[in-house]
Amino acid sequence: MFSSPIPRTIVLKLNSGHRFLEDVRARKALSLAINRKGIARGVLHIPGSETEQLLPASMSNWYLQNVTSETEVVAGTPKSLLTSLGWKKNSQGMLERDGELFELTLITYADRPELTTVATAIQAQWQAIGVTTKVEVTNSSAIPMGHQDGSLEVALIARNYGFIADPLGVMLSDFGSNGGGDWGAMNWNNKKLSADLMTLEETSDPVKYNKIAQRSAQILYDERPMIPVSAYVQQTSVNKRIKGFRFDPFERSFYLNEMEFVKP
Amino acid sequence: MKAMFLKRALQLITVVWGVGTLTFILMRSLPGDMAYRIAASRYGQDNVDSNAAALVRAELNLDQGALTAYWHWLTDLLQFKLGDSLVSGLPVMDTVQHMLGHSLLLAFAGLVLSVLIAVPLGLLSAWRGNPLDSVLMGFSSVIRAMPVFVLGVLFILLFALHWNWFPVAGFGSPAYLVLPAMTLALSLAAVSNRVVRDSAKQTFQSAFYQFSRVKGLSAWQTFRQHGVRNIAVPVVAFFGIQLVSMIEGIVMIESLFSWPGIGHGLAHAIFARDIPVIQGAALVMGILFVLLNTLVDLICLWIDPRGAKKL
Repeated sequence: MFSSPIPRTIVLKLNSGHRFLEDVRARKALSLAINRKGIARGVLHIPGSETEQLLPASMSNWYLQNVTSETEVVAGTPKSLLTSLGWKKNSQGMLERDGELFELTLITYADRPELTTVATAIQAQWQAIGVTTKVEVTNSSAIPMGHQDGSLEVALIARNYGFIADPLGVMLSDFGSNGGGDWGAMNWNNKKLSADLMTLEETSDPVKYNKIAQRSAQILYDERPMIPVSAYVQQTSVNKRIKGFRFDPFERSFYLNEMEFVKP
Repeated sequence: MKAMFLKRALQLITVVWGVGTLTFILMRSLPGDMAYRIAASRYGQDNVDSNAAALVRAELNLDQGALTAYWHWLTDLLQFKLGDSLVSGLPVMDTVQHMLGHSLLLAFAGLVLSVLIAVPLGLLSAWRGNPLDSVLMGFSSVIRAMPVFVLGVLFILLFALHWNWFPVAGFGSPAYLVLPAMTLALSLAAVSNRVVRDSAKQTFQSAFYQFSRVKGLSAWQTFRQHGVRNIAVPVVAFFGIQLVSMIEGIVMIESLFSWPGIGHGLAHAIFARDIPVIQGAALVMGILFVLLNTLVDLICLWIDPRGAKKL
């Protein structure tokens, strides 16, 4: 068995234009309510795969070294953040504001089987803070479609940031100037981030590039237009008769020319 | 005979039109956008985006009205054209032909096995009576009560994972055929053994059967001369009816065992909204159903020529 971390992240795509999610405090409360360690250990069975950041540590330009699982706690607790937004628990223990329940529909797709179980774990964890979540398992195409027609509220997806070695292209399509992308932010715009991403397109100096990318990663972490849950680990089982296997995290090559059959 | 063929030909035309139209209406009424679904199947689950969907929509002219699309399909069908797959772009005829071969192999193996199981067990039940009859009938009820995929999963657990006798799923050597064919055979035999048993019991108790014993024929001679044909008519007719559940079972079994047949293809085409393939596969299944029923009628006629007036 080979376990190889890959630049793909299980992440919640949020409709930041939704009346319950437009305030960053609500998005932070939902993020804080997720027990990432529990999901990594109990659902995915890959302890240590939990992450608070969109991009993996291997993409160091975009990874904030100073962020830990405790960093977000400074913002408050889910309860304090939601109370500050006017949400109160009703007699059934569910959050209510102006007679309206805090209800969200979370869509995901079964082509990646782990997404459905992670979605139900998140549903239970949000239930604990009083948020009612309806999980709908559908086709992956419902996510770009829901983004376009504005019907999407929350989606659990597995986003690949490593189509090419530099994730800038994906970052531009996900968080560029037009309020997000099909697989990125939704109804969320940050002028500073847009300008930074545009500047990066023309930046070749590695020191300057690192500085701007770090600033961008910090904005994404602070604003939570998407909530990361877990980093992907590719599990490959290799027959004993095969020698020379290695896995390309960017999934460009199988390195078949390096593999050979041997006697076990 | 001529009238029967004419009737069947008319049925065939009605089935082709009915199945095609119904599939068309059902597929159009499914929720979700076809362009996105097809794009997801073409470019991969996480790679589909609105640009890809727009390209697919323009390429396949998905914006045309339902009536126009239906009219195109109908005129193509009259020219025996089934169109091309929306996902792979390959002609539907080739895809369906390829899948049909595998399905027929599985169906034939399943049917033969089910006859081999059901006929001896049914006859044994009728001949020996209780307590064996009750045990066998109880056992067949248990098997029938189980959905066919549960039976398949149990077989995989026992014969593939626990004992390692046969491969879990897939296609290749004859070993791959064993588990799906056995699953299909058992689910079919669980009902047909009951029909064999009832038919045999009725024949064994009939006056003409008793009389042949009285007039001095041995048990075997009586069975051969007066039993086989009389028992066979309802049994063969029932196998014909059972073809419906076989077509049903094949969709499940092929998906469970990754058998590259028409049921497996149909399930994938539905997920992908590949309407020409769905229509092609459903049409072939409908045609197959009429043809097999005609074949069963002919066999029944051969066994019992008295039935000609009824057909």
